[in-house]
Amino acid sequence: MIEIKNLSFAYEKTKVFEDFNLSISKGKVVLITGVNGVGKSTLLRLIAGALIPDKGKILFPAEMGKDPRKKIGFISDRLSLYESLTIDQAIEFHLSFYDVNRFDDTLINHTKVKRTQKIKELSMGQRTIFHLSLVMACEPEILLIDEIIHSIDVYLREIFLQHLINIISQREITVVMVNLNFTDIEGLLERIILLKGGNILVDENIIGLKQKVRKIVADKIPAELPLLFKNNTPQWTEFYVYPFREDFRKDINGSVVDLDLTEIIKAFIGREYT
Amino acid sequence: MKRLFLTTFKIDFMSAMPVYEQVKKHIKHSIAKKILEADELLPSQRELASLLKINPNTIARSYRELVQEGIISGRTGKGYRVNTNSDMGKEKKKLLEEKFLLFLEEAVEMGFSAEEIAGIIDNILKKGENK
Repeated sequence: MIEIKNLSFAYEKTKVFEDFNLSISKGKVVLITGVNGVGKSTLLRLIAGALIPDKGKILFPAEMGKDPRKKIGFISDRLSLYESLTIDQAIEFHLSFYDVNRFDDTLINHTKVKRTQKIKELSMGQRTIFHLSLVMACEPEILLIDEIIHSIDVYLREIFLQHLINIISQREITVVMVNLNFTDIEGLLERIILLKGGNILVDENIIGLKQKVRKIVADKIPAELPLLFKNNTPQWTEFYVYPFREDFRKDINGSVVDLDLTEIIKAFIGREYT
Repeated sequence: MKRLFLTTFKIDFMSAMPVYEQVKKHIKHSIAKKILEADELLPSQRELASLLKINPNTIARSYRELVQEGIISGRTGKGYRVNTNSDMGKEKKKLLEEKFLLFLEEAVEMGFSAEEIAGIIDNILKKGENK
């Protein structure tokens, strides 16, 4: 379990988190989302140890050892990845730094890179996949993936996701992803955390969240229903209701529609802008 | 047989029905329709997760519950098989009822009464017998 306790963090004078608490169970795939600038990537970098909290603690399970950071794989586009080294040199450097001796190259073989190519010559997708291979050589207990999945092309994204599925099926790994786009990752997610102003606005497992949000297309809905967000289209009005209960149906004169995660998050985020 | 089981396997993310339920439902329906036969080996959790692009833990939950319901048996790592005696009678009836319900709702919307609908079904069945 990752336990974040009373965490405070600010960039210069801009406060991002104050007295923030969160725990993440072992072996879960968790999504952290929220509007731009809400601190999603900052939170990931704090967990990874790339940023140091001003106050509070981030605790890791004892089996991760004295230096838990060695058991955390962090994939981010902001990390400079030994830019001027070749792939081969980077592998050698990485393995010796982390004191591991096995590198699985099946994944990078799909990406058409040459082992003599320099890192800075790679495309975003190739870098991401190479980075995942490097990180997995250390057999991490925790994998942190910053908003990159959707900046790589569809072919490499598929390879990346398939590899992630393989990893999850082979070992009990905790995966924390930060993302704004949920197409093709919804099926992997088990828990959804939505941040707002340095706090947790929504924290639900995916099954519960999908039960609790519905879109109602109607002229009006009863005032007592918990309205999350209202969207006017040229033809009709859409009412997003949260938390939805089955017994609401009898008072609704309109159609009640199930939603995918993209639409659910759109409603939560849309509310922030209205 | 098995190929049809896999090619018709789709997860509907627009639906609020939990993914593990959708997986169970597809397997049950496939057994009821004999697309999956008795003693047939089910795909591994990893294979199915990779095909459907879903979390392997979700497939694990579906398989576990199907074992509890007596429909399949086996365990993780060894593979799961369809039980020879899995009683799909109830399941088949439920499947048929679901399909009928969709059709009945439409018939009611069109203004047919219960007697008229029963009459139509009766006629169709008689025609079938005469063939």
